[in-house]
Amino acid sequence: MKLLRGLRVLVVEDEPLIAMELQDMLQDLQCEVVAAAGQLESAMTLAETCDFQLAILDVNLAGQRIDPVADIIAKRGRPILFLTGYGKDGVPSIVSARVLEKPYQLGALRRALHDASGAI
Amino acid sequence: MARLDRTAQTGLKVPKGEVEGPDSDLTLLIAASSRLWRLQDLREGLSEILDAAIEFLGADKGNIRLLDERGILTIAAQRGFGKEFTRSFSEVSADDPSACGRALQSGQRIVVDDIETHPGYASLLQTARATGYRAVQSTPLFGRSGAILGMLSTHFAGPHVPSDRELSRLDLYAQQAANFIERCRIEDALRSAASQQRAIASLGEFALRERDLQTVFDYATRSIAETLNVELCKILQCIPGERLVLLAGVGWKEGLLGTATVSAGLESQAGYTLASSAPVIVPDLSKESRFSGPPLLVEHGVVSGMSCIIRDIEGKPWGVLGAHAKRRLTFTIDSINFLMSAANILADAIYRHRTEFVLQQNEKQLRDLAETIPQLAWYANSDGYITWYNKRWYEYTGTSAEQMRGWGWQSVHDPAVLPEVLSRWKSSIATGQPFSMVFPLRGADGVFRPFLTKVMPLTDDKGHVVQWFGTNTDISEQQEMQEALRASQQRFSEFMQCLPGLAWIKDLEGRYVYANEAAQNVFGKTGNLYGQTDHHIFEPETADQFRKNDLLALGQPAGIQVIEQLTHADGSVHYSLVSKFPMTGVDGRPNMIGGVAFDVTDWKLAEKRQRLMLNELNHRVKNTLAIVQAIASQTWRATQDATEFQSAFSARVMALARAHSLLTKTQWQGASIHDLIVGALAPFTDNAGSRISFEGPNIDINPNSAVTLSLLLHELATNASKHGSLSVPNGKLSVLWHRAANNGETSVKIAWRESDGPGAIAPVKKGFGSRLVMASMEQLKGAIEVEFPPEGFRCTLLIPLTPNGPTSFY
Repeated sequence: MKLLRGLRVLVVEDEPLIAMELQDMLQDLQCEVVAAAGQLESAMTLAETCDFQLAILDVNLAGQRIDPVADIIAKRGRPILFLTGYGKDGVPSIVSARVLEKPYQLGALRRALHDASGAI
Repeated sequence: MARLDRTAQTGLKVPKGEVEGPDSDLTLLIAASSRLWRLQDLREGLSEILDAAIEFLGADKGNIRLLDERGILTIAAQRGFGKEFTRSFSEVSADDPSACGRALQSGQRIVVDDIETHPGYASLLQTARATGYRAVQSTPLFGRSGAILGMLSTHFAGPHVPSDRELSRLDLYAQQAANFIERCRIEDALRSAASQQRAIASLGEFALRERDLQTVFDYATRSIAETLNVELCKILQCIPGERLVLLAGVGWKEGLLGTATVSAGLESQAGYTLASSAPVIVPDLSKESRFSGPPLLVEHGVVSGMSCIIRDIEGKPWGVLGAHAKRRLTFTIDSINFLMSAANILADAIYRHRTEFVLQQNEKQLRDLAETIPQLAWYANSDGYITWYNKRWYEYTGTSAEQMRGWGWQSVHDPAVLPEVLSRWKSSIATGQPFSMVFPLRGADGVFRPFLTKVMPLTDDKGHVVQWFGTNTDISEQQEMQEALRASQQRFSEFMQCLPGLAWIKDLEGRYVYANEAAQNVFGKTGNLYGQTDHHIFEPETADQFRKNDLLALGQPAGIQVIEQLTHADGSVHYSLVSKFPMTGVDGRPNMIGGVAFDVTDWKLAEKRQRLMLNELNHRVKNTLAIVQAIASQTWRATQDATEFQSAFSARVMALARAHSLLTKTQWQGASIHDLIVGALAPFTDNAGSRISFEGPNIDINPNSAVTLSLLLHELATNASKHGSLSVPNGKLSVLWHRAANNGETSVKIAWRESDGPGAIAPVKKGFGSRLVMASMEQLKGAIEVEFPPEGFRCTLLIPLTPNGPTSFY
């Protein structure tokens, strides 16, 4: 628990309700959502500029793949937690990244965040 | 001129004629002459001459001799001499001391009046005494040419000298005797020439008629012996080993014909004959110096003879023809010619026989051959007249030789085809060209079957047709098989063309030997497909793939099934399900590779699409569940009790479900804004229908935006019914939408207007609805404007009309 406190998280999720719920869950886990995006363009900008420790990325943004965003973040050496409804096969191949399949519960998110951040 | 050896004149006897008077001897002469004139036979005539001479001279005994070609006087007739004398003095030559010999020597008459007293005849004394004579006269008989023909001698028991008158009478008579001998000889020569000619004519005729050579030989030797008046005649044939075999003859001891042989060397007469070009004459074998008397001739007591060569057609000696006598015999030119003529006839017979024999052998061989073949066969003369059929012909047609002879074969022909057969056959006969035609022949069972008939001309050295050889081959089975094969090929071809795919056959080297139309269209774009390999037609990579699978299939008796890939000219990649299988030849070993291909590109794409759809469905369900989970969680966070939660949660899920329903109708292509608004307001129209108005053009938005918009409109409508214009009886709501340009993008602008309500108050704390609106705008790249004027809540949404991404429905 203590590890996640104050963890600065970038959230990229195009589905508004899921994004809202994810932000609430992160707050419950005492993480700090430093920025959230629902589109590829704004997500890329945030990935470059925003100061975060970990990124939670939906792999599909309104039909567009998240790969450009993931690449930027991987280059910056920040850990990534992918969210996907496609199963693990559709996830960009970034070795250090963790994957969380939708739908998920708070416990699963916490474990996934632990794993992902542990790889920092 | 008679010469008188008057050395001893004692005891002279008076001549008879002078005693009886001058006319009596003349009468005797005339009578003798007329007797002689009437005689024709030499031997008879000589006896008559001798008797007459003895009578003229009053002699006791006498003899008459004829001079032969050797110059020797041989006794032809005698009177009063015993056998001893005849044997001892049968031959007298010119050097003989006798009167006879001296007369021959001198060419004049010799008269010895008394041998006892004549010193010149002392050597003869003993003989004369033994024979019983003392006086003798020998008068030469001169022919017309002056040559001596013979000698007329008379002998007297006592000393005696014929008178001049007697001798002149004798001379007259001797002249007539000589004439007689000449006449007889001419007649004899004429007779023998005639008989030889007859013999030659009959031999020629016989040889021509007779086919058996041995019979001809037997006839010839018999005829020759008879005609030449000889005891022996022979035909010898050359055999290997420098010998000749006694093939035929007359006069030979039993068991010799066909077995006895003589040497072909120069030492035998036959051998000598072979070596000489002219006939060989042997007057006396015992005196022969050119060759030794062969045992065969000596054994048979042969004295004289002649022989000549029998030559074959090339002029080489075939053998020897000989005639032999057991006595001394003079062979005239006529006789020699006769023998040579006979030899020529035999040579001709031998040649003809040999030729005929060869021909017969040839014909027999041809017929034997024609009997062994399974076809019907026959021979015809050059004019087409059929002379012979083999057994198979008679078996098949059930006819007899009599029915078939000549042109009888027409009866087993189909009358409809016969005219053409006749016309073509006659044309072949006329031109000498081979004949070939298929026509029906009726069998013994009455059924017509097709026969392939071939007729070949057999020609002689000069190319003239001498015979025709014909064969008829039953091809009904062949025709049936051919038709069956044709039908089978037709079926195969039709089947292949109807196949909904490509079908082909390649040889072991990969060359196409068959391809159906579809395959030709795909593979044969560059021209004729046959003989080409895949490497001629396709890119190396593709061809390698095909060839590799071909070789793989060859190793599997049942073949293989593979998916092969082929890029078409337009760049599209096609997949085929291909069956490749080895095809075996008659020896049971694969000699070809068959292939059938079906295009499964569509199936492959459908499969891919299906996999994609299943993936997408999975994703969509999971996403929807995640949304439902979020709705539940968010609703729970904002409600105080279970009842409130239950109502709000189910309404929100319903809003989600409505969007799904609308999208399902359009296969998730999009949803109409009108329908979304109607759906969102539907729960409230029952008691506030007249207070709600909405209007706008028919605009579809993409599925992602539709779901969000549906939830958004639900929150707005719920808020209006709880706190806004729909919470009071007179409150009104108007929703208007239209297209609007926004930063070059087409957007839809939705204006939510509440009026106559309790009055809008901006909320203190951001609730679920507000948060959703803000989050939604981020997602929709849209803009929102919210106002809280006293007349009622106002909200303006500006949403870009962007199409959805290709693979996602959200």
